[in-house]
Amino acid sequence: MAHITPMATLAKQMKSNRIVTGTKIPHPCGDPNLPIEADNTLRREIVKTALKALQTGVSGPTVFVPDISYTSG
Amino acid sequence: MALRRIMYYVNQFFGGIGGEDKADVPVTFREEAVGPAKRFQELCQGSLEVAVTACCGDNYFAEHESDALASILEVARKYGVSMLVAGPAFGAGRYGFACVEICHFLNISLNIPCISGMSVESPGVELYRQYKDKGVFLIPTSEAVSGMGEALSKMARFASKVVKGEAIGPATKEGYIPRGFRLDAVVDKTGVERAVDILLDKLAGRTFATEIPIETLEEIPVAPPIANLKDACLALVSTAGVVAPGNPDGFKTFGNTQWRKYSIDKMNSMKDARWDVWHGGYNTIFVHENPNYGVPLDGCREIEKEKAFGKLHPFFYSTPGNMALISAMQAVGKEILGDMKAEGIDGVLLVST
Amino acid sequence: MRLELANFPVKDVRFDGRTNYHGGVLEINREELVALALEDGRVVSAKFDVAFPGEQTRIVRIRDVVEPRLKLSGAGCVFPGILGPVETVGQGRTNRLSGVTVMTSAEYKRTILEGTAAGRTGLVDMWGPAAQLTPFGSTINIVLMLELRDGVSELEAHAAIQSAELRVAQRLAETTREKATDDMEVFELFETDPSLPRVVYILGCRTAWHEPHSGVAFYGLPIRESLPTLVHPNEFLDGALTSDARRGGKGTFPCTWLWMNHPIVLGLLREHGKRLNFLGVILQRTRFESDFGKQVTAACASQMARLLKADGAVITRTGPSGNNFIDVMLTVQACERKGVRTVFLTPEWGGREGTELPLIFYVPEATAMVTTGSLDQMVTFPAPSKVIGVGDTQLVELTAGDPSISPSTSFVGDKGFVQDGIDWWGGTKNTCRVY
Repeated sequence: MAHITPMATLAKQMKSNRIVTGTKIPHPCGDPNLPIEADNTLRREIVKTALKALQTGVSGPTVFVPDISYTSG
Repeated sequence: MALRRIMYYVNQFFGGIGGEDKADVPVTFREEAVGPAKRFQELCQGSLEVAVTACCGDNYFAEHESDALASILEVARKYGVSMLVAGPAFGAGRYGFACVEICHFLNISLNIPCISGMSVESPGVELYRQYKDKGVFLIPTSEAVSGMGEALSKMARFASKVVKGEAIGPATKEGYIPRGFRLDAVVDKTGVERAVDILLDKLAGRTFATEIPIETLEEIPVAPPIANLKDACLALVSTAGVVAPGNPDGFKTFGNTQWRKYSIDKMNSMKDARWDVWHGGYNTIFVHENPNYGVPLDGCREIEKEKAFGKLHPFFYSTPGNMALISAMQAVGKEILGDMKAEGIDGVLLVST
Repeated sequence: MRLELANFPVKDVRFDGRTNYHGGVLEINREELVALALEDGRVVSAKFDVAFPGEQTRIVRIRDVVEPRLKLSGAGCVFPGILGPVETVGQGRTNRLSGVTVMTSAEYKRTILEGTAAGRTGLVDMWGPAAQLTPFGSTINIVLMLELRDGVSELEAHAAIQSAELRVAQRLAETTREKATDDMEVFELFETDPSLPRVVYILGCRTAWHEPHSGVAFYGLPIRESLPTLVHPNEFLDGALTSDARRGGKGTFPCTWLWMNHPIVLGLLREHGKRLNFLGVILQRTRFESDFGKQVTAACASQMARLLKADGAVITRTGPSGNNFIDVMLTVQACERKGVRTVFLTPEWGGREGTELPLIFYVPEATAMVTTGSLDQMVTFPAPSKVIGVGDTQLVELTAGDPSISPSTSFVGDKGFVQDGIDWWGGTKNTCRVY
């Protein structure tokens, strides 16, 4: 299982083993502040990172970070 | 004041039958206070009487637990006892376990309070904490049997309160080992006063008692990576609260206990159908506008078409994840897992907000 | 900055004669106050009632609560930025009517119907198990019932409700203008003995930047996504912090009254010069929506504490969300790592029976914590003999999307149903003990 969530710190403590950092809480898989093309690309990037996590051996809670830049907190 | 009749439990040693060599003796009953039960009864100063003492070999109990429990229960019923007292077991492992198991069994079967005593290091204590029976209490004793006098005094004092039906307060006040129920209570000082007191103690290097202990969660076993993603069937799960329009399944905005799976068969985007977003814990306008933010279907379909993985399961699993009880969500997780296994799903993408 | 807070206690409230305060009795001219509330064109109906502690009365559709206070001297006014120009307050002389509140029960046609941005309401029981959860079980509550015209936006609804309640509160406080009293408390962060421990209060305050009103306003400006701010404790006493007036209940945003009577701000002010040196309040906006944002606010708040040369910090949060809990726990950790020792005061979860984990996130540095009770354990709400509230009170919705309650019946519910029924700031003696 790959766990996509913006709260990687919390997910680590909950012992989720394959964590994928999502964007932000109200929109974990994408960013409505981006133009549509960029938003879709971001969503694909998050899903692709999740697939990578599913194929990676881990020994405990591990965070996989997609290529995201933050526009705000 | 009427005497309350109780049952007392001891092992073969305290029952006067013998030592380790007699650990295989089965359960026997005597219609009187035997061994420590005699002194215990005296210390209770007339608030109760030991109607029957049950005695069992430590090994016999360990190897024939259900038979032993059944026979003890039958006799307890027959004598109509209103409480069970067991031990004290001090540091003894098997005896400690037996006391806890008997207390637990009689408490849930007869709804009577059960009291025992043992050292806080005893392995029985962990089991007692897991059982969390509201009517079972362990009194802390020394490791060594030489602490018998004090152990019996404490047990007797406590038992007298319980048998009279008095309300039992928090563990630190009443002197029993806590089961682990953290319940609402009212104290003398306000939260501010207690916070300032604790901070000043901490700054001065004095000892202080934190009111919430730090806990660590248990590790979750790591699932092996998916060897062949190209053949894998993946499923989407989301706690963002995406549900069927009108919320016909009656999800709540917080504290949910159920889940549903909704069809995404033949859809290339969540926008291909109508959805509602039921979640009281975040601003749902974005997911409402574009549910792909909470269930990334469009992204998954594109990648599926590129054949990066086998196929996407035609349903996604949904439960709004806001302030639900941990136990409720653990149950939901197990059920969803059961469904997934039946459907032959190999991997999961779980999205939480 | 020296503030004299003059106390005029209210023992009784009557709707009789002219509006005036005399000998502990507050008399109110109903027509005058109704006209005052209706001055705002968005309010189409205004009514009053009153509830006393101990009565078997339930008040519903509560959105906000305010204490009547009046500034007699010193810069600015009470509720600066809203009832008057923006001027830093907390000096001079302010009068308060204590033991009484203006409690607003309001109804309007909502445009946001779900999620955290939707308006919500709370209730108060003046007797029974729920009364002791909130300060309002022990105050005389003057209930101002408002109906707004159709077509108001969410932010306008907040503005209309707040404007009415603050002006009514101000008018009531005006009754003390010419009155003398000895009952006065002086609040000042004077220079103390240098050996006293230096303590700062980090007030974690949940706001939602993308909602019409973020939940908390500073001098009338809703706090959105800002970084920590330094505030003098006296500013709280003059109403510099106010709440979203559409959103009572659920324990998410403390009401305006509680900001004005902040238990920790008052507690630390009173300890100043005695057991500690109170440095001031770091108002820390929380609930950043990414790990990144949370880490920045934690680093910033802890750095502010260090720059103030704090030895210790009292840290609290608002809002039952697990999300904002992480911001605050990370702040506890950041402070400890910078040598600022902390005590964290918070209610806990723990499930219905107190058998589940008390907290959802831990840091090893959180060695001193104070609990103010459970968020999950249920409360009994017995049947009242009287229900006060705007509109039809047969069926009342508390939070959008959740089943409504019948106020005239008895039911079992959450502490969050009660207006300020969750103790974020340690003002009650409620706690959890281990059994």
